Amino acid sequence: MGGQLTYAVDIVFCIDTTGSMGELIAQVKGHATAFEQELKKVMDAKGKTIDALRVRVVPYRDFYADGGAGWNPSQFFTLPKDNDSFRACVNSLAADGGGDEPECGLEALVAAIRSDWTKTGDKRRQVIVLYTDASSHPLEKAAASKPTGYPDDMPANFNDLTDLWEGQTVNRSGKRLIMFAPDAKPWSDIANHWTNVVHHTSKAGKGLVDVDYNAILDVIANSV
Amino acid sequence: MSTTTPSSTSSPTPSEPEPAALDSPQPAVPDSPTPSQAPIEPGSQNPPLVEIWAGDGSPDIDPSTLPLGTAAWMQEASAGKGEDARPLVLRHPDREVYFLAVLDGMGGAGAARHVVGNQTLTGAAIAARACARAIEAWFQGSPAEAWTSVLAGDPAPLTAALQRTMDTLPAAFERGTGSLIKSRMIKRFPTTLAAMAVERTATGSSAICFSAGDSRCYRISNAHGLQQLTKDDLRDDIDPFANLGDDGVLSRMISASEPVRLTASRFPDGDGDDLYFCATDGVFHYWQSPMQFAYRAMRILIDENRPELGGNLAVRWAAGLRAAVSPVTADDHSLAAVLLADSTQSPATLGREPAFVYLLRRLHDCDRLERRTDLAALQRIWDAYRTNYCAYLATGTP
Repeated sequence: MGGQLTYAVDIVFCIDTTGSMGELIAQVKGHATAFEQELKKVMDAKGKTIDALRVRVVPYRDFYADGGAGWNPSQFFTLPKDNDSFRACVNSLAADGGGDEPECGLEALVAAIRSDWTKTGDKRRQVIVLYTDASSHPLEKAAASKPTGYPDDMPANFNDLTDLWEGQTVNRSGKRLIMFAPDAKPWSDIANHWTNVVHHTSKAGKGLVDVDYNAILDVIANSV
Repeated sequence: MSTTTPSSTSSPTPSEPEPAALDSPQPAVPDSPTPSQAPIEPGSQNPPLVEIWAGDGSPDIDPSTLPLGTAAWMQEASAGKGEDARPLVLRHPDREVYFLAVLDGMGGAGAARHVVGNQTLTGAAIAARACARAIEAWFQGSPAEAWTSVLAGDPAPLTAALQRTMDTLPAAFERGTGSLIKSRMIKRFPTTLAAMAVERTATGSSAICFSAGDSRCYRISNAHGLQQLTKDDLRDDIDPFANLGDDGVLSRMISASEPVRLTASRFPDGDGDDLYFCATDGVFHYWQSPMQFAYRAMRILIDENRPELGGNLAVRWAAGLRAAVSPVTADDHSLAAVLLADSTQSPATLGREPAFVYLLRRLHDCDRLERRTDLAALQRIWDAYRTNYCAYLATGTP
């Protein structure tokens, strides 16, 4: 009889590091670095085991205000082996720039969706966790003129981004998008129209209570 | 056994017309409940809902409490935190007709926690147990309607019983929490159901299945070995082998977030020497392939079908399968089974026919293969095997 099926989980954190996140960034950093341990704890309680876990960070600001400053998506860190590097990456984030909202959260989401997802494991889970206190520029805005540092090959509009999420780039069944974001465009549209999305309507998780946090962890843990 | 495909229908949504019941002889059944068999009253404080938690705290099921020829188990992945309901095994008072059901509370969709007596349970656990209790109470309180409708393949009365339960759960258990979470993935009190009415007929056996979600009904026969009878309600059309890795998202379950809808399917062509069972996904969804699960289920049947072992073959088979499943699965698992045979004592002929033994030999070749290293080989075997395993899923359920 063959052995147990193996589970490989990738988590990508999209973190808004614009100036308005100043009072929230420390909480978000703590949240991100604790997330995988909290998830493991919930899964252990359910008797489930993650065989391979990787995490990645996509910090972002506002290309229209800051150019490419603050845009530095990381590679995947394999945990627990690369735990120190992952923590150093998260702890290096600083809130700055961005001007007034909106920011460029959709571009970060695109980078997350296009991650080099794991090909190991019998069962694969791909989790994107986004923290922001602001709305996002529409992708169409870049069509008129691309700001300095703007990434190449972005979807032209929200519909193309929706196709990217619902297509073959991410595992159709194993993907999850967790958004700690205000009830504003485009996040509310994503929550209403995309599959496998959990939206905590808040400013980057501010005011997140245990009952909601546990519910979010359960949504992920029970799908593994 | 012929290879007739099943006919199927769904219970109605409020905007849909009532489906015609599948034609079936109408059995004579007793009609009046005893006072102790009163059904759950919607809108009450639901003491029946609370009563069941005590029983669910000790999930081991004493085989001597089950009808002869039947077996059931429920095992939690983490003791005290399970979300499956205790499986139901009911026998018609006058005829060789059985009703089996398993329910798997959907923990991902129903993770919200609620206080129940001195416990805190997820909405998923409450849903599965409350629905199991509601079905049992329906058979006890309205046996004529229950047995007649399930044997007719009419899902509407069972659907209505489950809908009444779903209508009561939010008021009974939800307390305002002011959650800021918005998600179409999250349902109120979600659970799967796989249920089947099984009867011996003049020419063999027949089964009528009722399902919502990804718990399943199966049959093991001499002619075809293990066959999956019900199709998972998945958003994407994923075959059972691929779905072991993909874990397809459910397109339907029972919940308080939407009208209850069940799929009903009839399988009239059993040999008469058949083993029928319902199982939650913890039983079948953690194997390297459907072939390994089929091999174990069939192999254990042969191993246990020896006269010198005595006792109830269905109980021995279920115990053997449970022992095989437990180290493989990462989930709660529950199963309800009935063995239709000339005698529920050994020797039954099931597993002793050449076609069965031939099929088992073919499956043996893949028993030690693993997806991570032998995926292509497993896929080749699956390609050859699935026609038989999925014979009833080809036309599928709607």
